[in-house]
Amino acid sequence: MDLHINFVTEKTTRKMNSTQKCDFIISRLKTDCVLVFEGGLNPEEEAALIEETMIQIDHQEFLGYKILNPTPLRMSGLFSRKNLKMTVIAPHNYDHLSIALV
Amino acid sequence: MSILSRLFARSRKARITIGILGAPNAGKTTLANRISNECGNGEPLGVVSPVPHETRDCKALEHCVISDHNGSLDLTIVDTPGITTSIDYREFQQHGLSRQESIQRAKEATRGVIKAIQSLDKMDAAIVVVDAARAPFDQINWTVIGNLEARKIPIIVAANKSDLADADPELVKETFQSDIIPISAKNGSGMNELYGSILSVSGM
Repeated sequence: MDLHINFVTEKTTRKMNSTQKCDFIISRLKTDCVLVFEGGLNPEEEAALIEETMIQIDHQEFLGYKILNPTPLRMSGLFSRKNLKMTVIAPHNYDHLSIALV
Repeated sequence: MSILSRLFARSRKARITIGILGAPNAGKTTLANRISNECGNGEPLGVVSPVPHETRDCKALEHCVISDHNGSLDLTIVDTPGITTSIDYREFQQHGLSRQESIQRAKEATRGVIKAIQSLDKMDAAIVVVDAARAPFDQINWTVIGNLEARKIPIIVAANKSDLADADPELVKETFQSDIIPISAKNGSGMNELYGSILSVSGM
């Protein structure tokens, strides 16, 4: 099975509202993509995503997703340091989410 | 404040709605049933089962009364369906349900999850039930806690199943960086501490 990973930058999601983000995520999950969000999702967006996912689960192809918010990475640049927050979202049938982050 | 009004305030029963939230099979209904048994009318709020998503609707029990030397608290307990990000009907088949029964259960479970999420807005306080014997802990707990914090709803984290050999309440505390109450909804240990914590978050 091929694995597709989409890295989604903050720039891409900055102009999206919660509904647009949910649509964006679910449409890609349905094509078996793993999504890595720079900046992560906030709890309200996660709750909205759960609600929309429950509506769209069809009990055949799309069964939901798995989510992981790993500890933020401490990034050191030449002039700055910052914590990079990420959220990883994978299709329900993807069983190796934690391994992928090692 | 006059002596009379002070006496009235002390004897007055405060009323709050407290939700029981968490991942499937964390022991939410077992806890709700225990609170009903110890503080309410004794009627169970729901059936407890090893099959996930046994609770597929929010169920409320009014007039559970807990008290201490400061007064009494009249609780409405709301037992909610387990919150999750995926529902696979084949999991229910592994518990002996037919394919048709499993799909029907999965459909009801998806609706239950939505109801649980929507119930967050109706609570004065919440008990987040974490299965202390199942590490790594479900990611959904952070989502629930984050949403409660965003709504400024007081939270109690209950590390349930602390009676089990595999349970690690300290890990729950470390993971969620929060004060936790180790409990066993099944055998009743830690319940007095939980009631004390409910009184505390309600401002009593």
